[in-house]
Parts: sequence; structure tokens; C-alpha cells
Amino acid sequence: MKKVIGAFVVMIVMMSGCAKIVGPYYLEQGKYEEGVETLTHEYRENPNDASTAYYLGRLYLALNKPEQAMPYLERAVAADPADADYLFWQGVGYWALMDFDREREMYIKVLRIEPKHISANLYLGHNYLDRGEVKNALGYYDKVIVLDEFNPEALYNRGTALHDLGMEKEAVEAWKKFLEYYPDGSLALQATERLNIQGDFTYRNFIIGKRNVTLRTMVFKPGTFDLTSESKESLHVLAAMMEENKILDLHVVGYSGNGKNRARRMVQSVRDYMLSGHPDFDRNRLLLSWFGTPEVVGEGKRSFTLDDSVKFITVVR
Amino acid sequence: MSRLCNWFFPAVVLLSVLLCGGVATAEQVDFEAMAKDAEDCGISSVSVNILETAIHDGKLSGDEAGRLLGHLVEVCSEKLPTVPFEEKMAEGLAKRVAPVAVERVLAAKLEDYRDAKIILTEAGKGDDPSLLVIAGEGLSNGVSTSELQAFASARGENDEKEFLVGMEMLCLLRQAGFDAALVNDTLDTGFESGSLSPDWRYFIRVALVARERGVDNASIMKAARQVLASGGVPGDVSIRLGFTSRNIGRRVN
Repeated sequence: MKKVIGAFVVMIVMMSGCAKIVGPYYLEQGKYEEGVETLTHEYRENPNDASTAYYLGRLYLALNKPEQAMPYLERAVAADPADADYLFWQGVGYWALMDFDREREMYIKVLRIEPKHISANLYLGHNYLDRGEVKNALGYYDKVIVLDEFNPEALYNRGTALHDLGMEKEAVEAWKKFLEYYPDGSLALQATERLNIQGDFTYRNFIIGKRNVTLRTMVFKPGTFDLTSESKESLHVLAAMMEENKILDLHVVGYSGNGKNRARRMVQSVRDYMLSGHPDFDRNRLLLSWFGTPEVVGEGKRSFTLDDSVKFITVVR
Repeated sequence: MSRLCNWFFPAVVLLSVLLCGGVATAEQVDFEAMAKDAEDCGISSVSVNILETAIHDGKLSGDEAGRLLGHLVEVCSEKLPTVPFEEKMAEGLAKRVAPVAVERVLAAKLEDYRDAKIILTEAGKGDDPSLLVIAGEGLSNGVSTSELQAFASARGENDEKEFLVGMEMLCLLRQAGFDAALVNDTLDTGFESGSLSPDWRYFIRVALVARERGVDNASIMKAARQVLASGGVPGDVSIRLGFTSRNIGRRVN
């Protein structure tokens, strides 16, 4: 069926001769090689069409062939120098060729034409950050967040920029804000690592099954063994993973500087909560252990002592 | 005939340069005739124009210009790539370096290119002008002959493209002051994993930016080895070193 739709799209495009339709289609579908083949034909027919050159460049770039991409992107820009996207992608092409000076030049040109171009603001921030021009980078990340409040890369890298400026407290807050919106994925793992290095363990990464997963640290309401709502959300994630993977069992390990008994009650509370939501779970899939000592966590060259802590470790078979 | 031409023009130009340098005054040098011969040999008209303009502006005597042109013709006659020499000459003149000093630089560069050609020929790669430029420039900029020789003999059997990328990385990284052992370890990893794709020619840019950010050489090369071992590209090194990335794929706008 997909092939039929694909062929239909190609047919329409060949009939219409419009790269503006076929280009996005191939990019969205990830069919870069097919796209190059089709558009190369189109380009031979009409070498002065800026959009054909642009999409050919984009497709080559997506294939990670920046050297082949650049002549097309340059041609697109030459044909229509006021098109912000053409300039932007030429900038990305320069990045792929590791030509960071020219990359920057392109984004600056884009912003002269379209000051609110989110991607150009973001990547210009990246360019400044990588070159150690951190204040400039921070300015652009702030601008991106004004334009796009939930932009993940700007939120994450804002933390990096603040950290590089020595504003540790603000950096921690920035990464936590990022994690509040994006608690999953590779940037979440990195943000968590960076928080932990700063001695903030609001989030921690655990290897669950074969995945490295970011979770909220288990926190109990004062004077009780009731878990906070954020902690419960993390347990929902774990329960969902165990639901999905029937052979995934976990060690739930408690540490407490306030005695062995507290550590035991903490892990029991965790198990009880998980089982209450999943009565079908065999309780032996959650193996409890506890220690009446704080957990000592090594992060980089530093180590931290966590008075109350619960760790999740995948049971190895 | 073409072989005769290849040698005839340079010989005439060289002879006239030697004669002019020895006995004639600047005004007596027939620069125009020399220039024509040089262009016939393959020297670009841009370089010839630079010299003509310098004579016209009184910055060079005809004799000095003739001798500089003679060096370029010598390069050309040995079938070495002339562009790096032409660029060097233009750079020297633009910086108002004394013509004698420019001549010395060109002569030293020619020696380096000759050495590079010998090394590459011994490794069975003598015909590739891009390799010759990489190796010649490497030697001109401080890479040792023995190092280049060791690389060429060890990797002469490797795939042409990988050999070129490896040699370029060696020359550029060594010129940038990266320790030989670090560079060689990294190249070994690249060759063994078969991941020295053409993208790695740009690795030097990542390395220099990383150093600008305060990352030490050993960490940069360690990251490069890890990425090469897993078949990655230089962009992955920058990410591993904590740099930002760009989405080059599916996003439409």
C-alpha cells in the first residue's frame, strides 16, 4: 500500500514538476536516496529552479553527504538570496563540514531577513556555545525560549551556558526545568548526569532492562512513608516497563542514614504502591533489600552522600 | 612532442632567468616572453599578472620577478602542483616580504614536494596530485619526512580514499601540534575499523574548536578513537566532547 502511495506521489510530482511537493515528501518519509534520484532528474530539466536545488541539497545533507549537498544549497541561495530557509540550511551544511565560521555567517544572514527564525536563533546559540562565546549563546537561547517556550534544545543548552558562565545554581534550575518538560530521551539522560554532578539528585538515571531511563528520585512526604506524586509518576513508568517486558524483574534497594528500619519501610512502600496499581504482578518481581547507611554516589571526581535513597537495579538472570 | 614541450619551455625560461640574473639589468629581462612561456607551462595568468603589476608598481625589478617566475616554472616542469607555490608567492608579495626571502621559501617548499613525491612513489601513490599537495604541505609545515614515510609504507596497501584521508589527518593534526603517538593510535583505530570516511578530513576543525574550548589533546583524540571504533563521523566526536549537534535529517523546515 505504502509503495502505491509513494508511486502515486512521485507520479503527481513528475507531472507537476514541483520540488516543493516532492522534496518535503521524501524528507519526511526518510527516503533520501529515492528523493535524490527523482530530483536529480528534475534538476537536469530545470537547473534554475531554486527549490529543486534546495531540496536536492537537503536530501544529500540528510544522507550525511554535505560535500555533495553544498553546491545545490549554494545554487538555491544564489537563485533566491532572500529565502531564509535556503540560507539556514546552507549554514547547517557548513556545520556538517565543520566550517563553523561560515555556519555562523549564514545564521546571522538569516536573522537579518527573519529575526524570529527559531532554528537560526537556536543554531546560532549552539555555534556561539561551541566556540566558548557563552554569553552570546545564552542570549540566543533566551530568545528561542521567548519564541518557543518548550524548545527542548534551547532549554537544555541554556543550562549548559549558565554552567559555563559559572552560574551553577541557575544552571541546575534550567536543567530541572528542562527535565520537567522532557523527562525522557538522550538530553534528559545528559541533563540528569549534569544535575547529579552538581549534587542535585532530584532525577537519576537507572539501567532498567536494556535501557538507561531517567526517573524522579523517590521522595516521601514528611513524617510518613507516603510517596510524593512525582515519585509515583516514576513508578508508573517502571510498572509500564514491567508490564511490557514480562521477564523484567527489579531489585529495589533502600538506603537510610536514619537506620535500617526506615530503609526497609521505604522500599516496602515503593513495592506496595507498584503492586497496588498492578495486582497481577508477582511480588517476587520486585526484590527488596535495605541498608541502614546513607548511599554514597560517585559522580565524576566528587562523591555525594544521600541520606534517604531508593535505587532500582535490573535483576540479572 | 608534448614531452618536448613540457621540458622545452621551462628550460628556456630557466636559462633566460639564469642569464638575466647573472649579467643583465632588470630592464633587460624580457619578462613578457618569460611570462608567455610560463603560462604555456601551466602557471596561472593570475600569478603572472601579480608579478607584472609588481614590476609596474616598482615593487619588484624585472630581474626579481623573473627569478620568482623561474621558481614557479621549475615546479611546473617537475610536474608538481603549482597552485601551493603560486599561493605562497602571492602571500609573500602581499605581505611585502623581500623577494629574496620569498625565493628561499619557494626553494625550500620545492625540496619538500620532491621528498613528498619520492615517499608517495615508493608507496605506489605517486600520481595523485591531491596526495602530493597534502604530503608536500605537511612536510612544508613541520611534519617530518620519517613520519610521513612510516605512514606511507604502513598504509600504502590500504584503500586509496582511506589513505588520502589518513594522510591528510596525519599532516593536519601534526601541524596543529597533536602528539605523534596520539595521532598514530587514532589513525590505526580508523584503518582497523574501516571507518575513515571522507568526513574525517574535517576532523581537524572539530579538534581545533575543542582545543579552543579548553579540551586537552588526549581527550580529543580519545573521543576520536571511540567514535572511529564505532564507525562514526567527526560530528559524533564533537557531541561526545559535549558540543551541540544539528538536525540534518527529516525536519522539513
